Amino acid sequence: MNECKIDATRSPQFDILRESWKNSGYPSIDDDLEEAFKSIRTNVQACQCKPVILSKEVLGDSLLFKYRAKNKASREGSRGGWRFYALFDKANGVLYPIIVYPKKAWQDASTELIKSCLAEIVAILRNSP
Amino acid sequence: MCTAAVTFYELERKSESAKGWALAARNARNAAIGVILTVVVSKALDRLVDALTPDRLALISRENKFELTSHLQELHSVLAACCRDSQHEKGRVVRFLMADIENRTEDLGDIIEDLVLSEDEQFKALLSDCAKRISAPTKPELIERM
Repeated sequence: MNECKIDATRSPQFDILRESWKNSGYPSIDDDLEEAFKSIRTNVQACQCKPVILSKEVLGDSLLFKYRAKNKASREGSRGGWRFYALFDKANGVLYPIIVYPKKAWQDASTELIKSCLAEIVAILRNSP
Repeated sequence: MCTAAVTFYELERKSESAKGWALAARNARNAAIGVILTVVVSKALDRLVDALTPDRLALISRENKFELTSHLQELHSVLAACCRDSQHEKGRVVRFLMADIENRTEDLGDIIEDLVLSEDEQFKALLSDCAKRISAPTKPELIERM
């Protein structure tokens, strides 16, 4: 399938979020993501990749993909785990992870909860040094 | 009727059908009927989740997207309750069937999340900022650092 390179250092947002989750009770995040990246490098559509369709105004020339990764520290097994969004530069075959967050299984899917998770992500990014 | 409207009504119908079966399964008093209804829910959910592709969702108008999201959230809520109930289930058959429903419920949750976030201005601004920073010129050696 489609191989790709991954540049997880390019997005400052991704670095900030990863550090923040690591320091707030998710010590396995680096290993979890590296394991996911290993699969994605050989197939960009691995890890239950789903395209997210948004306008060119928002994404520029990149494609937006959403992935799932296991959280080894979670007792929920393959459910829950990590979600991360990544921008894919199709012309150069490079994937740039940009947003990562933990997802709990059986979580409510209400608009309020989804927006409160987004607000948490935005707050982490705003409060970063 | 235009393609967008057909897509919306089809997805709405599939969602309502899955919710109806899930409610019936949850309220089934008889174990055998419960098993049969759980199979029906599983199939209905497969049909719905398979139909909720990004390409199809992109066809739907903003108003219909909000309405569909609301239907899907109601369905998700019923399914999540079924999944929580099944954690106390002792029957192997039902537990086996529920594993598939649990996975599909998680898929559905992700689809709802994408629907909500794709209409959220704060999320779009965040993505746009990420995209701009990534497209800014950088040194080639940064690539493949991980």
